[in-house]
Amino acid sequence: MTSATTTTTTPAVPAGSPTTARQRAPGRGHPRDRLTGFAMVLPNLIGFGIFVLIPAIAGVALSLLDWDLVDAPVWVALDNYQRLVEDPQVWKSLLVSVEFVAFGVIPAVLISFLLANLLDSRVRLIRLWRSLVFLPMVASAAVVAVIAGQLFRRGGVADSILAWVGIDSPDWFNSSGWAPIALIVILVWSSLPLTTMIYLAALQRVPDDLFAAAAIDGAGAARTMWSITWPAVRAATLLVGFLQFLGFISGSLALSRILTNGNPLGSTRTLALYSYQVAFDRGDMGYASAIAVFQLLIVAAAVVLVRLGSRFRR
Amino acid sequence: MTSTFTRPGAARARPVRQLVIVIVAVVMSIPFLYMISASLMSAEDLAASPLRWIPSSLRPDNYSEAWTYLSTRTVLNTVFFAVAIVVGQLALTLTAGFAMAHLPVPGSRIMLAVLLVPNLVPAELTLIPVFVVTYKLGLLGSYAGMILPIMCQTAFGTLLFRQFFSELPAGLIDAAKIDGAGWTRILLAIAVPLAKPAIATYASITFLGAWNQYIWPQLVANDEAHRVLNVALAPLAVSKFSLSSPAVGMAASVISILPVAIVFVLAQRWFVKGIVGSGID
Repeated sequence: MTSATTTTTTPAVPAGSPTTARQRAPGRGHPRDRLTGFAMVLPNLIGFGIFVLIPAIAGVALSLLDWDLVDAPVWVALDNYQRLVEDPQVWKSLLVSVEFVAFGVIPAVLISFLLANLLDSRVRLIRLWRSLVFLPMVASAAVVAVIAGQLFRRGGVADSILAWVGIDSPDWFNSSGWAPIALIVILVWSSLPLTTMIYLAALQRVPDDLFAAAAIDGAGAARTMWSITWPAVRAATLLVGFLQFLGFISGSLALSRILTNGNPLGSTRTLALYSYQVAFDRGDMGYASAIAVFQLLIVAAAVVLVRLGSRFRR
Repeated sequence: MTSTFTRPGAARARPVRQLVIVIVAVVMSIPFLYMISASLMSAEDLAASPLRWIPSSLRPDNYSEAWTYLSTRTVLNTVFFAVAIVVGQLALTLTAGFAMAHLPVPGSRIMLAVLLVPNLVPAELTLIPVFVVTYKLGLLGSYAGMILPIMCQTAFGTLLFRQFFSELPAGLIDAAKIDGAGWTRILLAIAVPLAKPAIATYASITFLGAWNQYIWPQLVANDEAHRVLNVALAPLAVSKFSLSSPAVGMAASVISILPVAIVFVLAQRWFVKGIVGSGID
């Protein structure tokens, strides 16, 4: 869920009315109101506390245990992390996650930018064409996986398209070299609706005068896009880039689990999938949590690096 | 006529652009188009070489076979699961959001801060602890175990509705209080009806997310009595199991996606608003 949501505005406060609710101090007021207020918040609070807050804190704690949920948990301190460092699977999975990000994020961002520019036109039936581009966002990972299974089978749609261009196609999901590529292509496709929508909204907010001025100065379409449009939607690019980064680094847990489960030979096993397999195929909750914490640290490090990098460039 | 994305004053685009847009839209739709077409193919058509794009004869039987495989129970489970989550989340977030906006809730400032915490922790890290909590509560394998953890993800919704309700004119609420209305009545008769657009947006997105859940329902309860559509559908991605042809799998996909596709087409405006904010109309 993106944080780009704002709420709709409401009618202005009528003249002479008392202060808006925000200016009422919480914590004071009629005791019965306090009780009612608390009662209204309580179910939410309890549910949130049990299923969101506690797990958020417990993740790290779990990584310091050796626990299979059946026997009693054993305190092992940093042993899981030691194991992590020595586990070649972890590093291989990290490589796969990096591969996904490296080959997926930039094409996804660029394609959705171009797509949004294209859709930012007054053209006949544009609402229909936009709907068609956005529609894939309703597909669940399972649906995408089933369709992809058919598209990428021997002699399927992917093979036919490649043959049409004269290229021999590999045995996609049976090849450890090509399976990740196929998965990346599928992930890019399924991420386009959301990111195109975000870009399109950002483009709508760019004032028309900017484009008019460029046209008057004689700038062509490509020049305009490079010098004006792209910088103008920088905020959207940051948001889209970040969302795509998060999405690709896990390779969409659901999709990779359903379609390949990491095969062949772990070529599509990201850190997220490895953590999942360790937890739920092997029942090693502690170690799996350590892997998840490791992934969190990697993501945090990447974010920090990016911010440092952009600060250096100024 | 309001289109969420129309730029006022833009000139009509050239025919070349029109053609490119159509081509691009069609290319984006190829997976779905193929899914629909393949769902009506016979096994021979589907396996034909070179590839057949359109069935030579229609086989609607694929759909009845797909429905039998998925089972009516699974469909009902999914509807129940998604609706329960939406209704539950709305009940929790509307109530709490309203209370935090208009009532002197003790400790509300701490609560607000706490609500922001989970945004920092990614889903992958919380999956295992949530599973452990659910297991310890004895909820594995039950509807409650499937629904409650997702339903309780109320951070976003509570903040959203709290923000919304705090912008309501206080005069409206004070007038109702003077008339002697209790808080519950104010919430249900005044606040909620005013929040309808925000509710529509929130409900659409939550429904879509709930309908498309796979990992969690599959983890908690993947037996035939409890499973949801995605859980039944997923195995077909790698093997057609006992089905007569992969085309039946395509038909099963169509069945799974149809409800949310319809909701999306009808409520596209709300989806878009929810995702990119409402500054555009």
